[in-house]
Amino acid sequence: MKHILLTCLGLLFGLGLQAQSYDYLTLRTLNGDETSLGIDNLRITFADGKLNADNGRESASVLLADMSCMFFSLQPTGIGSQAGLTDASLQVRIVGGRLITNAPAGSSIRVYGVDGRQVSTTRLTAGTYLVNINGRTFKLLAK
Amino acid sequence: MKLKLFLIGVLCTVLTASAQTMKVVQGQVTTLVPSASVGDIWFAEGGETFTVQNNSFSTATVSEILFDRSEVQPATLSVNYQDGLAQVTVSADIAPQLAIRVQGAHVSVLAAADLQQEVNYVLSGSSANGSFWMDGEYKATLTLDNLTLTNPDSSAVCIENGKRIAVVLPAGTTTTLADGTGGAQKACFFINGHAEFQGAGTLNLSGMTKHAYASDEYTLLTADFGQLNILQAVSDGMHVEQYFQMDGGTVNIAGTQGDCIDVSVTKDATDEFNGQAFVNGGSLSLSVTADDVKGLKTESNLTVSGGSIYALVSGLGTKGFSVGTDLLINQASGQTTSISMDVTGTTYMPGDAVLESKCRGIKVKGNYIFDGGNISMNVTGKKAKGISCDGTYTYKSGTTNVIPE
Repeated sequence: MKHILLTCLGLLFGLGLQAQSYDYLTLRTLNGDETSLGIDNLRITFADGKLNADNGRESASVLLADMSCMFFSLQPTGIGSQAGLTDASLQVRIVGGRLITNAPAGSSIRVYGVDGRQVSTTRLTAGTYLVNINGRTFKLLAK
Repeated sequence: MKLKLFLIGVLCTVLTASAQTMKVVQGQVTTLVPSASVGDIWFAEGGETFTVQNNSFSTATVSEILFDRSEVQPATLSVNYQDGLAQVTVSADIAPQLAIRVQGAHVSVLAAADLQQEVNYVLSGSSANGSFWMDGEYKATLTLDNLTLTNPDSSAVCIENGKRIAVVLPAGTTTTLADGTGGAQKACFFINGHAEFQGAGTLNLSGMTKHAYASDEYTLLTADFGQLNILQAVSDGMHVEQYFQMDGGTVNIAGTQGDCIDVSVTKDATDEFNGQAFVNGGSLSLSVTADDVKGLKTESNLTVSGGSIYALVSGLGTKGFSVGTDLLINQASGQTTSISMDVTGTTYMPGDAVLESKCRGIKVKGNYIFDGGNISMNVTGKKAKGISCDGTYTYKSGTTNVIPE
């Protein structure tokens, strides 16, 4: 019995290790912008001075001259802007506990807490959230 | 107990499934980077290069980077031959210290002198026009995993590395190597250093230019070794320097124009067991059918302490064993020694003062001690003899049955 308990503990430890699974690759530009993509089926190519990343669900394209580094991460750690405004074409912010964005209708929008759990887009209490819109991930602060 | 094993199995599966790997593809060479060992992957020179785990890549030469959940075996270079192409994968931990060249299905790897860890080179697949060449200054493992490889121009596998080379034949695999005619190579399968064969698989060799197999230092077949078949050779089946030791496995040699096994001394007279052969176990079959050649030839001593040896000695002037100095046949503890021969050849170049050679089952130039085991010979060749000893014969134990006496 003791052996089985020890084995179970080992199994739980193993599962804990699995929780450290690096499921995302984050691209960071020289100005600090970060974009995370899931690594399953992720493919990166270089063409026309750009880094192109695509996993069939999300894609990103970054000028090579703007690339700083890329790294594996446990969670999508993209940082567009602490204030919530990201770039000229895509805006996202949290107002009154609700996610506001100008992303096109039908866009894939997912919001995660810092613990990695997906949460609703409408009842966001004060705290930090990771918002993934069509493959781009932003770190937002709800006040 | 079953539950415990099940849980351990689940744990192993879980841990394996958690691996993530980055694969940097450059033409036919792919570098495998495990996510767990990667820090930041920095871009430099305006994005023209990036560096990961001490490997620097030019974005202009990278075809693609792929990601999956496979696991990376550290210190491993794998070659998979697919007809006219070879795909090479190398783990990132050793890639910076390996100079890899691939042309079609011809692969060469030069390990840096400062590489201080053993690399496992794993070869698999099939090509009718391919090869593998490797050199380095640190011991290495060569795993032949269901490889079928022919090189029409030179050796199929050439290991210039002069250190210990562990040749692994995984159980259940069959590897077949052949070279082409008219080349300059020493052997179809050549190892410059000392070779230790292990694993329960099968290796088939054909030497179409010279030897089928050659090593410039000792060759050892371990007790768990599987099977080596020499199918043909223009010269020797196995040409081994320093010493040959067989502790187990099965070796079948036929179709050689030279000796089946030729053991010669190295240039360094102080080398251990120089020019000797040891048969301690296993099964050895020698088909000595060409003229004036030997089944097992040693420049120095031959010791048979176990195993089963059969030799068909049918060529003119052939010998089953040709021992340069002393022969000891005994039975080690727990071993059975069995030697049988059919000696049917006659004299080679009779009357020629220089070249005449008589057919013998066993020819000993030094002393012969028989201390256990069973020797049986059927001698039918004209003027052939079973056993010929130039020195002193000492009988201690064992059974000899030579017909006719």
